[in-house]
Amino acid sequence: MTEKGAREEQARPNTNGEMDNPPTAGETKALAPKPETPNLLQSAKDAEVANAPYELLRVDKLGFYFGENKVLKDIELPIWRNSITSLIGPSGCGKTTLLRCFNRMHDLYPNNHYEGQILMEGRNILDKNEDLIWLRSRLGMVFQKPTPFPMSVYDNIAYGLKLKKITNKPRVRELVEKALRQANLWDEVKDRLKENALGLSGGQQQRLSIARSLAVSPAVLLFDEATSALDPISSAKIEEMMVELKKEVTMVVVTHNMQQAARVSDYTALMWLGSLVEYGETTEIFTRPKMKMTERYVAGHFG
Amino acid sequence: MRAKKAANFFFFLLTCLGAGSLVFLTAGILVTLVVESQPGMERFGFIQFILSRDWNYAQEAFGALRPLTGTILAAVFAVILATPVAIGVAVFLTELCPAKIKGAIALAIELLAAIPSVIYGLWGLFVLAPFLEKYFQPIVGKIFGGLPWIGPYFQTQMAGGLNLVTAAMVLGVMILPFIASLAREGFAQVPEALKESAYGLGATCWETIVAVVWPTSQKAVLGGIIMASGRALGETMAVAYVIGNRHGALESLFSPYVTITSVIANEFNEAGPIQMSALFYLTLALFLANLIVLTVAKRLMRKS
Repeated sequence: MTEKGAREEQARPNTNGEMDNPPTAGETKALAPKPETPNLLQSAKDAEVANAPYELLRVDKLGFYFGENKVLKDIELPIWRNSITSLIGPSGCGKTTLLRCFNRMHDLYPNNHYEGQILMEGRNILDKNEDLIWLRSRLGMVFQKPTPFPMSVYDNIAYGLKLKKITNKPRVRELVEKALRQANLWDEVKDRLKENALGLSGGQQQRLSIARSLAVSPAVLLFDEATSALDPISSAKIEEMMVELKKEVTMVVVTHNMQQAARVSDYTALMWLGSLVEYGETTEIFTRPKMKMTERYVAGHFG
Repeated sequence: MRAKKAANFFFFLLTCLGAGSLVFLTAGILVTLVVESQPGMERFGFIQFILSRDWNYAQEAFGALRPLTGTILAAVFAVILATPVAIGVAVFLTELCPAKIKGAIALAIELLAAIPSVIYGLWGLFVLAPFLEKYFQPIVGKIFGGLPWIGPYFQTQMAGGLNLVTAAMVLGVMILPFIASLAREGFAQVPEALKESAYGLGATCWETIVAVVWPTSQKAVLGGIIMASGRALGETMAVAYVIGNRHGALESLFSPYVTITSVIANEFNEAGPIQMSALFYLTLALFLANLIVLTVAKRLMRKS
C-alpha cells in the first residue's frame, strides 16, 4: 500500500464530521475514496490503492465472557478489506459470539465483558468509550431471520439514512434505489415501494434487510447465518449479491453451510469450543488444511 | 383400557363443569340484573333513563346521566394520567433498566397491584385529597381559572378536596401497575433480532423504541389500556371514598360528583323499591359498558 493510501485510510474513520454532512456521507465509501472528476490516471491509481490488500480489522487476543463463563479464548484473526471471511464450526463454537463482538451487540445485554482488542485501522473498537452508535453504523449486521421493520419497503431503507440525518428527499430516493439495486432487489420491489415490507417473501425480506444495512454505507457487513432460513434459490441470489458487493464492503459471514463458505469466501476461520482452530485462505482450508481437526471438519466427520 | 377411558371422561366432565359454572354464573348475574331492574325499566324507559339528570328520592325520579358521566370521566382521566407513566415504566423495565434493580422495581409494581382498593380509598381520603386541596387546586385555579369558557371548570367551588380529579388520580394509581404489566408483556413480544437490527443500524434506544418496539406492540398495549379503563369503570371502594358523592351539576372538575359504583355503594342500604330497581338498572348499564370495552380490548389484542 502506498503511503498516501495509508494516510487516507488512517484519517477517515476518525473524522466524524464527515458523516454528519449529508452531501458527502452517502457517496463517500469511507475506505474506497472515489474522486468526482473522471481523471483516468488518478482513478486508476486510486483503484490500485483501493484494491491493495489491506487489513481492515484485526482481532487481537480477544476473549469474551458471558458472566463468569469464558466463551471466546485468545482469538487472533485478520479481516481483509473487500473480502469475505467466513467463520465456520459446530454449533456452540462461538462463531456468532465472535461476530457480535465486531459491532458490540453484546453490550445490549448485561454481565458480559471483553478481553483483548479488535483493532479497526489502529482504533480499538472494544474500548469502553467507543461510540457504539457510530460503530454500528460502520459495521452493519444481517440476522438469521429477516427483520423488516413494520413500515413500507421505502421507509425501511430510508430509516438508516434518517438516523444519519440524511433527509434531503431526492438524495434519500437516490440512496434507497442504490441500496436496493446493490441488494438485487430493486427490480422486484420498484413498483411496491409504498407497500408494507412484511408483505414481501422471506428471501425478499432478507435482501431488504441487507439493503437497509447497505444504505448507510457501512465499511463492514456482518452476516449471522443470513441464508440458513431461506430456500436454495433465495440463498443463491444472496450469495451472488455478496460476491458483487465485495467491491464496496468487507464481509464477515457466519455459516453452517460449508459449501457456502467454500463458494463465496476468500478466507475461512474454523472455530471450536471458543477457540480459533485454523485460519487461512478458503482454498487452503478446504483443500490443504494444516490441522487434522480442520480436515476432519471440512470433510464432515464431526459438527 | 376401559377404566382409562372412563377416567379420561371423568376428567373431561370435571373441567367442563368448572368452565360451565362460569358461564352459568355470568348469565345468572345478567338475568338477576335484568329482572331486578324491570320496575325501573318500565318506569323510566331506556333512553330516558340514560339521558335523565334526575336523582330525586322524594319524587322517586332517577336517571343515569350523572353517574354515567362521572364513571366515564373518572375512568378516562385515570387512563390519561396513568398511561404515560405506565408506558414509561414498561419501557424502562424492558429496555433501559440495569438488571440489578429490575427485580426490585417489578416487585414494587406488583405490590402496588396487590394493595386492596379500600386502602387506596383511605389514602385518597386522608392523604391525597387534603394535599391536592391545599397545593394543587389553587395552582390550577390560578393558571386556568381565568380562561374564557372553560375557566370555571378549573376553579374550586367546594371545599373538602373530594372531587372528580381526586377520584381520577386515585384510580390512575390503581390501574397504573395493570397498564404497566400489559405494556411490558407487549414490549417483551417484540423479537430481539428486530430490536438488534435497529441498534445494528446505529439507532439509539429511543429511536429503536419509536421505529420498532412501539409499532410492533402498540395494538397489544392499546388493548391493555382499554382493559385497564374497564377496570377503572368498575372500581368501587376507592372511588366511593374520594368522589364526594353529590348528585349535582358538574360545575368544575373539582366538584364532588358521583359514579355508578359510588352511588350503588352508598345508597343500596336505604333505598326504596324504585330506587333499588334504579340502582340495579345502573349496574346493568355499567355491565354493558364494561362488556363493550372488554370486547374492543380483546379485538385489538387479538389483532396484534
